[in-house]
Amino acid sequence: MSLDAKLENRQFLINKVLLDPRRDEDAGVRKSLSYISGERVHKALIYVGMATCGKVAGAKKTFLAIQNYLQDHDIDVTLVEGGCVGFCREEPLVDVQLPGKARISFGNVTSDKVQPLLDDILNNNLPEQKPLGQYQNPILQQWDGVPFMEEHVFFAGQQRLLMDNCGIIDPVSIESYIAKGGYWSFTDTISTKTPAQVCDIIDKSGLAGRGGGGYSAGKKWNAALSTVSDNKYLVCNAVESDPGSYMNRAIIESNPHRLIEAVLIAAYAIGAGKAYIFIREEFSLAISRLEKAISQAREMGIIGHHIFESGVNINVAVKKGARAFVCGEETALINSLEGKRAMPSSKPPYPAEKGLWDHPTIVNNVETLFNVPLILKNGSEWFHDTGTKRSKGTKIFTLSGKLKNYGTVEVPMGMTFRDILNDIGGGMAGEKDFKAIVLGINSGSYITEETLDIKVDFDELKSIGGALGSGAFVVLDSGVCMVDMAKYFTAFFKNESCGKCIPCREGTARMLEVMENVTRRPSDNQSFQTLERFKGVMQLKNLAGVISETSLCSLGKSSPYAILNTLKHFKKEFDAHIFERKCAANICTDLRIYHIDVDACTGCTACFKKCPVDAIIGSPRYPHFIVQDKCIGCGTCFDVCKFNAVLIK
Amino acid sequence: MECKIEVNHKTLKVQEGESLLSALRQHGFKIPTMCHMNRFSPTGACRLCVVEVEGKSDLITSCSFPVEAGMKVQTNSQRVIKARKSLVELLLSDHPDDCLYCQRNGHCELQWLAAEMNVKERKYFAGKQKDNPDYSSTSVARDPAKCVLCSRCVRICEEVQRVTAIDFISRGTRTKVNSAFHKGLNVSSCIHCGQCIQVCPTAALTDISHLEKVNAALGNKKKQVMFVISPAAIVSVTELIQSKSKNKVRARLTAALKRLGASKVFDSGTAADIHVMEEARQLAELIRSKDKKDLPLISSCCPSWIRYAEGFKPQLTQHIAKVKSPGHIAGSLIKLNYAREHDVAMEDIYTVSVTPCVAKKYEASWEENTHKGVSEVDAVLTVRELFLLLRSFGLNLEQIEEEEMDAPYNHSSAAAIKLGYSGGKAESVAQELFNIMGGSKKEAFRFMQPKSITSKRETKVKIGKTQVGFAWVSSIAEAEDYLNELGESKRDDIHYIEVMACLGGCAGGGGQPISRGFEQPKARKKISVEMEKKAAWQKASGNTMAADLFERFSFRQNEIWEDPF
Repeated sequence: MSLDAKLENRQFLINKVLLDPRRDEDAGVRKSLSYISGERVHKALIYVGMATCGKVAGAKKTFLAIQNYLQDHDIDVTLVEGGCVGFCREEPLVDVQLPGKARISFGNVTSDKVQPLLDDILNNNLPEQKPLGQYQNPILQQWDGVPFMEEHVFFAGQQRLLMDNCGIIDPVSIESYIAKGGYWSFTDTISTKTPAQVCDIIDKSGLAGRGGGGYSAGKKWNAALSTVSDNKYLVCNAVESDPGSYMNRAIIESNPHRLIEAVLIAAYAIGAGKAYIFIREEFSLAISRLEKAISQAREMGIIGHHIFESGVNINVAVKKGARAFVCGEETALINSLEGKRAMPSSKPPYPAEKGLWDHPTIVNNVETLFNVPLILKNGSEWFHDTGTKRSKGTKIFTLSGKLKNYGTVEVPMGMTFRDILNDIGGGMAGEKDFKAIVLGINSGSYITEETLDIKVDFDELKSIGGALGSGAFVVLDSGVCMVDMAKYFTAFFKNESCGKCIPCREGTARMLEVMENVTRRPSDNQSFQTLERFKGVMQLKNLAGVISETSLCSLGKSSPYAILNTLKHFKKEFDAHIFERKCAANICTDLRIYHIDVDACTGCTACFKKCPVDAIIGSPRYPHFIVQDKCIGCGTCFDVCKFNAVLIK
Repeated sequence: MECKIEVNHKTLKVQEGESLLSALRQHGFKIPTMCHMNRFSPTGACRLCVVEVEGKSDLITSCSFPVEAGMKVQTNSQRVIKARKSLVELLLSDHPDDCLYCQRNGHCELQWLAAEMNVKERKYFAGKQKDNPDYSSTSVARDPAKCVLCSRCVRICEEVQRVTAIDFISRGTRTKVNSAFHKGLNVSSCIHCGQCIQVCPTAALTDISHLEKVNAALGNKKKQVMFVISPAAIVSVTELIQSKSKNKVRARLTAALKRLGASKVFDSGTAADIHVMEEARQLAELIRSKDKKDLPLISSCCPSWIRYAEGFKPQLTQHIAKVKSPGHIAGSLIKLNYAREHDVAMEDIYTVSVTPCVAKKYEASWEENTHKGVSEVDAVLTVRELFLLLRSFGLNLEQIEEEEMDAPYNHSSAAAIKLGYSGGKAESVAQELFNIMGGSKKEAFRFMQPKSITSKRETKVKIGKTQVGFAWVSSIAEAEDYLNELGESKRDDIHYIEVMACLGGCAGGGGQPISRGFEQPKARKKISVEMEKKAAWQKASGNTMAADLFERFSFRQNEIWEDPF
């Protein structure tokens, strides 16, 4: 597009769309918008899912292959580096839209599949590769025999309020975002509503924080609004470091403008002149797309001084976070933002009263903010339509682990975990049985077979002693050792503790040591060691209780949940480790016992030579033996044996 | 606003909004703490002050929680006691168990806490912390293995001294308090004030001990060990002595030091008098000078302040008086003047300075404080070390005869004693300035001093025809703020600024006996004032010995004092 055309386009969007409340009434405007948004196209459009998840699956290669193909054949096609529709299993995803025809989506398009695919599709033929589906659109001609995407099992159970544009629009095109209805709420809000009204709407909607705590966003905003100060700040918490969750990254990469709009509305609502998006430094793609989006919004006059002559001044800046899990805790995040060491500080005073540089500050999670433009557009009552009595709206999960359809999904609150797992997730992958779902390290909650029928709801999860967490949804099968899992979680907390308060710093280290002792065979049978081991196990529950009761921040408080929940749901497995020294899943390497199959052993002496503790005896050409008292279970003999004579018990 | 709260089923009247901890302590409830420091904002790091509040699901830290009307608090419920005990046990789990070999044995807050919590067995087994101690500095030693990460040193270094020589490094169990890039304190921005030692609950921070050096010298027959006691040290010893023998500390201390083998015991008061006279002379010179560009004159007796100014504010160094500090004037008097008069070789004299200061150890290492390779002060003992020395020799100041200090440096004027607390030195210099410029016979006057020991102060005195402005600040934060303010407002009515790096001056020095809180400097100042009343002379120049020496020699800093004989 030429520069003039681009400017003209933008003027049109500002005057006829953003600033004109009767935008919907004019059919001409609607038609123009459908072209700008990419809903309808003048020339063919190829859209490659190029969020981080796509890139990992090889979308970059696919993209280059498509580019080469187009160059070689000299075809004029709009090629878009897109976002993520959420279906990670099918990455790299390529969507094709021909003029007048419905958009059609292909999964698993690796670079070698590009040529046959494009050969056919650009000639208006269905290729051999089975498409994932086509997008329903009444004004476009549909492909024959191609199912609708909305009916695909992965999408059918979802309710995509927040992710509606993810993987559909060009993430770094402000025009297509506005054409899809973006920034309308913001311009309407600043021209027709007072900050107090906005806070009221959010409060009435019942929107709860999605970062894990579930605290009412409206209450928080009201507290900040009512605090008198010459300076206020809004901070968006995009430090998503819970292992197993990446939905914040995915939705920022796929729709950065939505976040900016939400941040602007929130800043307006509490009277903040400056907003920060505090994002993990590792999210390089999300950062670059956000920065691009911010500069576009600034060019259009949506961010900055005296926005659309309303007298509202809001500035938005991206701040890259230190590489620390604790940065996700709001007071630590504020400290980090101030340039200090990321250490949490005591509450009260709450950041809403005294936060960044001692000014009232609101810290909201990305997903929480994503709800805001919608609520303002449709009203608080509308938000009540989705969800349960106490938990409103939708929740985004990242499905991962041993299930068939993994990816980012958005489900209405109130859906059962069984439905998510079996319907959207397509059930278990592989032969093994379902064991548990881990709802992130933050919450440390396990959903087991017995609790699989509970709903996605803050209160219901609380009633079983869990928490919703940030949105991780890791499915474990029977091949996973839960003691090992708890050990992993504890090690994570031990390494990520900021070191400030005693219970978290010392307590997590002690818990880990106990867990390590449990998953290890004693090298010699000294009574002292056994005593130490049992003493640790006896203290474990007490210690976990003290840590969760006295830790300074929520990170510390949640650090023992994994162990407490393992003790609660998987006590048998735990006991087997302690008393029988057995790991049913055969994961805890230190508990394995090796022995040599006399029939298979050829007496090659390979293991004899390699054993680091001389625990193997035997003479050449005769079967060897392992002296169990000496064996440290390192597994060297198992690795060196060429005749599969070393067995694991 | 006053409100009522219920603590352990008893109703208390407390101020709304103040911290729960201070409210509880005011009413006599004993709440253990580790990271808490009066006058500092709470960090909530140690969690030991947890209490149970009705309606809160978790235990809350009383140090950071404001009092709310009607709250119901349990300070000693089973849940609270169990939590506190577990916390102490966790702290102990990787703490080195070498209490018997520890410098703070018996004075250690962790030991006290363990005793208070009735810890009788090792509950958690963990590897002991292994960390290399840092003895690189001339004055402050660090042993990270004993650190409990209460952050008190970090906060005092940052908030009171604005130096931030030490801070937290790494995360999780690897968290350490360390100087930048894990380098030694000797290459950090440390100003050697020793305030961190004062606040450290364990032996993670201690002074670099000169005890062994002193002991070796005492055992060396060739050496004549001469102790130089500063009046401030006498004040802090007096504070710890039973009331009966309070008046005779000077004499008793002299007797005790003589018993352990000192050949002479001197008072550094004479040197302090000389120091005051020299500063007053330089001040008079500046006031009389035409351009007055080097005004205000800033005092030079505090080595920590000098180190701070050189490192952080080099533009200020031209304002600092060019005078040796009293300790080193005393050292050079002994090693040059006394040695010549009594025909002793300079190398055979071993001077030991006793002060409540850690930075003096650092000052003794300066090149300009040596003569031909012989240092003026061979060893510096802090008051803490003085007590250790006396104890190791089995000497008890309560039960010892009295003995006069040795001539010729056996007296100090009230002006010299005043150097021990913030504001005192400015007073002494003002008196001396009267002598030089005003010709007044006025013997003593006291500046109007507010009750708090830390608020910055200034006053104006008419001396001769000039209105002379004096100011005094203690702690680097105060000094920095005051000097910045002065620079910004471009005032020229302040002529002399006394800067002491420790809160309250030397009375709150880093080498004082360890005390919790900031009330001690006030008590020591009171003792000082009593001592001043008994002094033979009020003005520095009243000390005839000092006045005589002052006439004969130059005591300017950085000028190599050529042997005048």
